[in-house]
Amino acid sequence: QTTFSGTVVDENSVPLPGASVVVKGSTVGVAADFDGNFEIGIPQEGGILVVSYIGYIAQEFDPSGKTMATIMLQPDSQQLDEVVVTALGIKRETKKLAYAVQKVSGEEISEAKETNVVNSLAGKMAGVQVTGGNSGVGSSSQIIIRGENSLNPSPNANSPLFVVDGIPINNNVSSRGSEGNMEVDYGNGAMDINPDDVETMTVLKGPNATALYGSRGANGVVLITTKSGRGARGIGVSYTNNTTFEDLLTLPKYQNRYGQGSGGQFAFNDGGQNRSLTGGINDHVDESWGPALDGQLIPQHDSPTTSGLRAGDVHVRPRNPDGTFADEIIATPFSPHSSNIDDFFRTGFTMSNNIALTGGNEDGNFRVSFTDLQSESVIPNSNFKRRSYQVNGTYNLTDWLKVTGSMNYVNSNSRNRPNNSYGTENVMYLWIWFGRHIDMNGLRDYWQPGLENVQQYNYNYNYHDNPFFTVFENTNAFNKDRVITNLRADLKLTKDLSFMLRSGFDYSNELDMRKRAFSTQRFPNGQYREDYIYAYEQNTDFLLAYNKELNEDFDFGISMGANHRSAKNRYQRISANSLSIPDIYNFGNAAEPLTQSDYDSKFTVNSLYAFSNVSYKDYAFLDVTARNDWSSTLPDGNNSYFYPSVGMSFILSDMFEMPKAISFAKIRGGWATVGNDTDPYNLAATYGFGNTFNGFSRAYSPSELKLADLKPERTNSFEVGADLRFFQSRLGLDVAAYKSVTDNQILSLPVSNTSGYGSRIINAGEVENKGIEVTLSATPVKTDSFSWDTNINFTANRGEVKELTDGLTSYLVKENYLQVVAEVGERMGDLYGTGFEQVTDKSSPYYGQWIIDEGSGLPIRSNELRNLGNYNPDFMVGFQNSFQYKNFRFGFLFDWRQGGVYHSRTVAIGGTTGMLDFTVPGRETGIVAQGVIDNGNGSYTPNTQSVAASNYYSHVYNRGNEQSSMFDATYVKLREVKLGYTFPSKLLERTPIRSATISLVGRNLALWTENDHVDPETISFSGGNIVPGVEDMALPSTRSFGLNLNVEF
Amino acid sequence: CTENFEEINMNPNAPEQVSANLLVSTVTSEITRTLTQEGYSDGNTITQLMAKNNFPGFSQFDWGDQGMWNFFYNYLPEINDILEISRAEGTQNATYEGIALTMRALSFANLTDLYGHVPYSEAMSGKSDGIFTPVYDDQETVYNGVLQDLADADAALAKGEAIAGSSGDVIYNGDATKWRRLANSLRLRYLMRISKRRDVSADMQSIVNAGNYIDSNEDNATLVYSGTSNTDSWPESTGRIGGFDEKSLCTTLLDYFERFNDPRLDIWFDRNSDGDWVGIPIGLNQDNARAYDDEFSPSRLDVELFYFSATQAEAFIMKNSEVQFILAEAAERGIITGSAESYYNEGIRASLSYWGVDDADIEAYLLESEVQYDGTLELLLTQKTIALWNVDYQGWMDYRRTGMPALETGQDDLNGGLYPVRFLYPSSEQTLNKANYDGAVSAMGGAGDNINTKGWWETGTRY
Repeated sequence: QTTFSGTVVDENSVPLPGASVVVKGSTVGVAADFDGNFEIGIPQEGGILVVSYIGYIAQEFDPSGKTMATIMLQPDSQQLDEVVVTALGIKRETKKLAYAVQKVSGEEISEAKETNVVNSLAGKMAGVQVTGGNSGVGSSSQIIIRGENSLNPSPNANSPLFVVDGIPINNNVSSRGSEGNMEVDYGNGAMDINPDDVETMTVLKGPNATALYGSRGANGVVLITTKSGRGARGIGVSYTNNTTFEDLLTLPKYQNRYGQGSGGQFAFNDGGQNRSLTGGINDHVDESWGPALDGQLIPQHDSPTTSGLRAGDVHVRPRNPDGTFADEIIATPFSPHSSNIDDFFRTGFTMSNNIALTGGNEDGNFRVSFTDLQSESVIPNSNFKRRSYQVNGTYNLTDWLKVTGSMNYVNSNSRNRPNNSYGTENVMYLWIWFGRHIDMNGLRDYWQPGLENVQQYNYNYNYHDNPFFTVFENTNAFNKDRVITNLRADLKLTKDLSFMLRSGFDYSNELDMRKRAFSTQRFPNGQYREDYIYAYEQNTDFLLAYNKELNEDFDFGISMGANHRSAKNRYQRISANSLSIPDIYNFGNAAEPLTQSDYDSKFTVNSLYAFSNVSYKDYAFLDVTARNDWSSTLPDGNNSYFYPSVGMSFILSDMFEMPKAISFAKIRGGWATVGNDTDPYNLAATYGFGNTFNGFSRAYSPSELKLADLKPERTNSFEVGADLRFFQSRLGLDVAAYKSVTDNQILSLPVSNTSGYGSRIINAGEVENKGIEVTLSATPVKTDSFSWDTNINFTANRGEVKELTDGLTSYLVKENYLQVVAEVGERMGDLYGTGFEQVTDKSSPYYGQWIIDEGSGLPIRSNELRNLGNYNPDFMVGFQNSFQYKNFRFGFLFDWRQGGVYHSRTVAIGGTTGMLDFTVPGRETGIVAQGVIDNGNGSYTPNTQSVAASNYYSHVYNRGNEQSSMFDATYVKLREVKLGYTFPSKLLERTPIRSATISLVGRNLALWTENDHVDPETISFSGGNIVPGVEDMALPSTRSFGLNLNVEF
Repeated sequence: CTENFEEINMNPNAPEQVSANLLVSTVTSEITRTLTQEGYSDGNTITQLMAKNNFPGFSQFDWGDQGMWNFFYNYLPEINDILEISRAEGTQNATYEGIALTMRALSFANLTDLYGHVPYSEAMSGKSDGIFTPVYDDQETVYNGVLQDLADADAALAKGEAIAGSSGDVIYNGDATKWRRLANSLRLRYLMRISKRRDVSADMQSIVNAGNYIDSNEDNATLVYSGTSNTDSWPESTGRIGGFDEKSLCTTLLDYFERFNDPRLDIWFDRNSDGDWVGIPIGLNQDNARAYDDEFSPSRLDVELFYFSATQAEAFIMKNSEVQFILAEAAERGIITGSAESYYNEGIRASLSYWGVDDADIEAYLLESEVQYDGTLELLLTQKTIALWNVDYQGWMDYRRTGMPALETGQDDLNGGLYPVRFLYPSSEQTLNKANYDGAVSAMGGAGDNINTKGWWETGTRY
């Protein structure tokens, strides 16, 4: 026997630690160490070494006549033998699967890093729709896989299940309104996952893939495997720094011709603080129909006064006995401050530092990782911080017992999260009412002198808060601790029989603190509020697996397992809605009785499951699964439900001789059914408590009628697909088609309140989703030094409401300005609202034109609801490219969403206020509304009456008329651009550095869309729910540029 | 596998049953507060007691459902529950039963007065009969029910049963005698309302003869705010000063006040900073209202009474002054016996006295030449409309029935010069109860769901 030493490296000469080296045809094998080095004994008679590494093409190497060599492996771009993690954490070869699975590697995620790991999936996968939140770093992202299955409007009803290292985690979206406060987006649960710790993210797309997760997998599953020390020999250290800068990608297009006021008139006196005070013109008005911004001298809030104070210091300026001011405002030029909104924002900054240690030997390995992320938003004083600590390790106690454990602690916090939606607490609301003459910098000093902490200084006291006062004084802080942990033991009972036992939990504790200072419009005497949110979920499961090679042709495996899941949640809100002393935020300082509410819930689900895989000649595969759940949320008699799945796949290219051009061909198909339970306490209606009134306690009757004999809901799905590769796998095509039908849906059905209830729980409704997913991948160029990989994915999904209940033909899913209506036979996501009366006579030359009211010269509003379109896209395309030239890599990703409509409240309000650019025409001349007068005899006369521009725009864009601000939601986004460089290993030879890469990354760099005032990809919140199809004072979306540095020692 | 499941799924947060007092507090406080709030803004606007200088859509008759539908239907379940509890064995109480019947009648009368046909016979029967799309009943059917409920309330309250413990009643603290007076006063209000359709004289006369109706300010159905929190404060006092300032004295009311030399002017309004009383016309559009506002500085509402104090302004369902004016009109029309003039004078006395005018000034006011009763319904109803200040939409109901006092639409009206007579149905009914909605719209006649379609009682022909 001779000894052979070698080094395994990748195509860039970076060592591949843990690469496997075996002598072909023997059981002799070793793994490469941290530097890719290995030593192996070669039998006397010689032998061939098989060197392999996941994701690379295995290579055979003949060591004869050598004692040392460097073996370079080429990446397997097509990854035919790719191993993916499937349901219950079981690793399987992709080629054997009967369903669609896609994964993203940790490298891809951490290079162009998104703080919210969910966003990393945007545009990269067919069938996956990701919508990012708009409150900057730390905001929620919504992910929907293969369309919405549920009619339930809860933001979590259509969310996939997230599983980290086998333990399901909470991905609830949390936005909490009420107590007079507006919505704040505190993020979605999966946001706590640290991208630096992610090894792979695998998306299981249909019920076929997720049947084993049962109830929770019906909307797909995102499996996250965290990095471990697997394959490590000795100690390795890696350090990653990611630094990005953010600025605004979108901002409404404001006009710069006219200032605040009405009828062309404006003069500041007291900012509308007391309207009956003489002096001032229209200074209580917050719209922009005022004088031209031509430099004429007009008293303004920031004009000096003869008392030396600012004109806007109305609470401290000297007064006469009759209340009028004793000083005089010295008028200043009325001129545009065209960059005033821009001046408010700042450059955002996000820095993340990760250090990870890995180590291991033949008996075990570990990884510890610490990440510190700090982000300062583009909105002043708004930030997000996250610290993640992760430890995991595996140890082989004996050759039949392996234990694994992991612990992940995350603290995230913010001193202030911005407010969303419509109202004074959101700065975007302020901008749509702002004045173009206002110098933003003049508002930075936001207290009136001598009244610090008591009275803000502002340009208008009738409606608005000073934006700097809003972001620095009226803060929405939070602090959240979360622990996700699991312990696992694997026993090898016999050669074929193994047993796994695992238990883990996801625990989080969050405290939100909202402060509102004295003189806030909504809270003249301040407010202090705390929300406390506790969530705990534990899962314990076991799996007994038997795998046997029956003979040359047949492989066979059967497993059975069980899971016990229990969850507890608690929510508590306490609020002091006025305070005695300014700037003291403590409940002891409440000036009135505290208001509070709290809610506890818990539930348990027990499950048994079994599954079997049979393979024949490694080209025909059969999968069967079966699962039974028992859920505490369902009534006795209906709380047990069983569901099976079956899937088959055939590798045709191994079964038959294929033309040379075809390198691989597989077809697959499957059927699955999945059951689902409901939320706790949906069986019996309860009374609610109200605030006391004149000392009397108050209660409310149930607003929802419950259903005592609820049945579990059920999703049936079929899926077929093909995976084809051509020309030595240089061209690949993966196609999947599916149809899934969800019925017996457990719905909170809104009903006419004349029935005595606002809603009732029912067991009905049938939603069908059909879709096609196509992924085309190609390597058009591949030489030794240059390669080009490209990937296009296409998704089209149609959701259709097949059936409701009791003869019901339409169902109001959500109501928020627009009504989202599910109508039998129609698409999911139809939006209904009102518009103007139009000529409906098709034979009239004026067909489709507005009908104008002869008296006012304005179009007539119709109260009748009409279909304004559908918010779902017609299709989505992701287009990804990467180029490699020697040590340089360059890549970019476009994300194209075609079709769908949305209602832009920014445009609607900005039209009525005269703030947006399109409200300039006609100010001097008046406007003749395009439309016709109904002569009452079937004939029409074109309108010729001119009306004032302010009257015209505020009528046309009136909020009660949604039609005039509907837009095409189509967009193309340049989602990601990366340029990377890997330092050649030669250069690093004499340093302790094993590898180093540096990359320049940019995200969301460009946007093309119809409505240039906002980003159509925004989430709107209402009552804690995500509202589709509506943009409501969205914070501007941002683009980011940055640098990513990764060094390994 | 299912051990303890029922225990796990027991809701620890909220009860499945409550006692009547917890619901009576909710119903009496919310309905009284909201009716007065509605009266304070839109009710006073439609009768031109006040006008808006900002967000003037309502006074231009650019109307929608105005929220009252959802308000009443959302509190009817509580009323129904009180009725059920008060009739159930073990929790039986005739006073609670009378309170619930009175509040139910008040709610449905408001609904049909404001909207026309409304779900009534099948309303609130989702749980009992599984009806989630109740049919709309015509106004006459609803009125029959309302009057029956009030008669039943009278009978139940006549028993005078005491309420043990906390009553939950923010109006009369469980006093059955006073509730009985309110129930009968409401009967008078609603009998008068349908008197153009029906001969109501026997019913009205017998109520008057029995004497169990509100006939002094002591009996007024008022709610005095305690002001301990935003919840139990005069709502305007908890809002923006800018919101308070969106309403001003209307020129129409200023004309009445100047004609009558009325002391209530100085109680409800403030002079402008030039020391003058100035009104603003109803129905100006936004630009015109602002221009007017800047040029003339119309009088704002009394800021001490209606903004700065959380407790001084009260909420009410019905006051003695309204009852006296109902009786005055009934006497004038010969529906009941008695002197219209003396009821008229009592109505004025009750109103002025409620607003704190002292007796000597009241008597002086009654001697004003323009105030002295001249036997015309125009004068009677003008005084009544003023007395209905803040009383939900009652003044508008009288205008719709009698056309008095005469009112004109404003210059920027968006309703084709017509004075509207109802609110639109909420658009949610188009999605949630479409067939019955369509049926009601067509049964009411008129062009679709329209603010100009008249109801049953205002199209009567008896006068």
